[in-house]
Amino acid sequence: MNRRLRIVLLVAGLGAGIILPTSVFSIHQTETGIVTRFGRPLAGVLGPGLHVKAPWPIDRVIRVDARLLLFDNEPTEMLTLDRKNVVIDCFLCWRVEDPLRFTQTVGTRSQAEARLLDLASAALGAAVGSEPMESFINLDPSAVRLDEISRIAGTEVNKVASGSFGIRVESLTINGFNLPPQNRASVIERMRAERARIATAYRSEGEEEAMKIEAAADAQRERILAQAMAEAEATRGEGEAEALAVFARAYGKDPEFYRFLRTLESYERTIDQDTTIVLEADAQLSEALRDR
Amino acid sequence: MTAEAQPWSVRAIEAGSRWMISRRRKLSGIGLGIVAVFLLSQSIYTVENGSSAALLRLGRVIDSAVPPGLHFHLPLGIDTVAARRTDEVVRLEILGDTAPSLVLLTGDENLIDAQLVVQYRILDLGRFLFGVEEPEEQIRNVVRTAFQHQISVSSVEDVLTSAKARLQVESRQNAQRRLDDLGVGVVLVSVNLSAVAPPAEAASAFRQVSDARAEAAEIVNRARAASEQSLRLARGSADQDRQQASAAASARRSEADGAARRFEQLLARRIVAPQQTRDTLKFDTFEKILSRAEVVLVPPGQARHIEINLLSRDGSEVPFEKPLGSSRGPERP
Repeated sequence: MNRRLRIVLLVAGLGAGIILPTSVFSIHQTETGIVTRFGRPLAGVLGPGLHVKAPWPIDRVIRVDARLLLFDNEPTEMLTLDRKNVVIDCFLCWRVEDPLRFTQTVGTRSQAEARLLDLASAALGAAVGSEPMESFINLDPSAVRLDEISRIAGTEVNKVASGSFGIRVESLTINGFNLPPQNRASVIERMRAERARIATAYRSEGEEEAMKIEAAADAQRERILAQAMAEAEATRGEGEAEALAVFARAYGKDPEFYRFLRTLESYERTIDQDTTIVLEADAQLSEALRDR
Repeated sequence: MTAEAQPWSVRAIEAGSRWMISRRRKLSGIGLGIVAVFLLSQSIYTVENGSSAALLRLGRVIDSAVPPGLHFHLPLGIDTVAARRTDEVVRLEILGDTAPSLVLLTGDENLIDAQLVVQYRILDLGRFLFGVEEPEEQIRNVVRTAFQHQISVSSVEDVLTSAKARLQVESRQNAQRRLDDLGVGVVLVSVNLSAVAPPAEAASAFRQVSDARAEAAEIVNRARAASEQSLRLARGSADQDRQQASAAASARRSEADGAARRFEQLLARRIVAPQQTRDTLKFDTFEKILSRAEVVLVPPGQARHIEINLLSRDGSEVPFEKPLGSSRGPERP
């Protein structure tokens, strides 16, 4: 074989060795692939695995991330319906739905995220602006519409993203809701004042309760004592009545004799050292005394 | 070619190649054997206990749940293996944007500082590795969302005190639902509020509230104790009253019984000797009263009026005129 042929074969072999491997490529599980021929994309989206194409520079492969992607927004200040400044933090979960459209329009991740940022800010700003503060924080759970608002904004973003960029926004989620940092001082002041009010309320409730307890106890005490007094009176009365019955029974046997005895007893009781008895001399007794 | 002196390296290579060519059959056999062993060594892989692996062939997943043990795969980079400790519970901290604590707004517009720790385990290795970008960041965001939602409908009192356990459980459930919807392939083992407190500038105001609550409870307790004591005393006094009355009633009855008996005894004597009994009693009494009192005898026929100066008990004189023979005065027995 002459030398020239050998050299040509060698070069061709080397060339083939360099270029042919570009005909065979693999797409990773996390990607989808688009093949472009002379810059123009071919139809059809390639899934994971081994594929064949025309060698470079005829055909080229563009790889697009097929996974669920996370785009975490910076917290943004927005205005609610009742003109309150709030800081909303949200994140988007999105994926490339139409890789062809995606590569034709935005092409790269950063471009896509820039578009999404614009769309999300507008949609969220509008959604937040049509809700009062009470839709975000409220002690009544049924009044809070965080999920609703997120969903509305997400749908809005998806309309444009899906149609224009081949992107599907799986979710737009508000994961932070706060007041602007410059409001912090006044919020803290309000919190302090509210706590002071609550503390005072607790104390006065306690005092009121204590007074009620005392009053009830006093009333109860009065009842107990009055009842006891009544019962005591009744008992004494019973005793007195029984005693009188006994007296009546006994004295009833000879009332006249009782009167006699009772008179003598009353003399004995009532006449003492301070008593002066005046007797006529012709009384039986005065005779007896004179004789003494 | 002339027999020039060639360098020893060239001569060695020439000699080596001549030797190899002469034994090419045997060498090729041995060579093939070496290559085979080499390829085999590259085809074996182990999955450790507590882990599982995903096997990819030329980029495509052909098995996303390779169990622990010894396995074979195609060598030379055709097959790749990605393993994770799927039995292990991984701990993630969720930090704030500018500070270690998250600053959150409660349902009653109070600020709180909170630190969250979430623990998760990989459930679906395929989705975890290949379906979702940054699964741990997803988890952080979702848990933060769930927790924010819970805080937005809770009062600051509840968050700081009684609702902490409930918040953790409900956040975990809520976050798990969201992660399942997104297909992240993890299971949340727990969401923990590792720290929750009011902002430092307001901490003392919050302490005052709990102090006030304690004071109020103390006041009520004291009032209760005092009232119980007062009632005890009242009951005691009431019992005493009743018992005294009872005793007095008994005494009265005994007194009556005694008097009745005495009367009956005297009556018995009177029945036996009526006049004698009356006289005896009469004179007994007169003895007693006349020995005590002052007696003034007025001879009969004296002036019908006598002046008696009675001294009332306080020493002042009370004029008294008594006409003799009137029906007033001590009864003549």
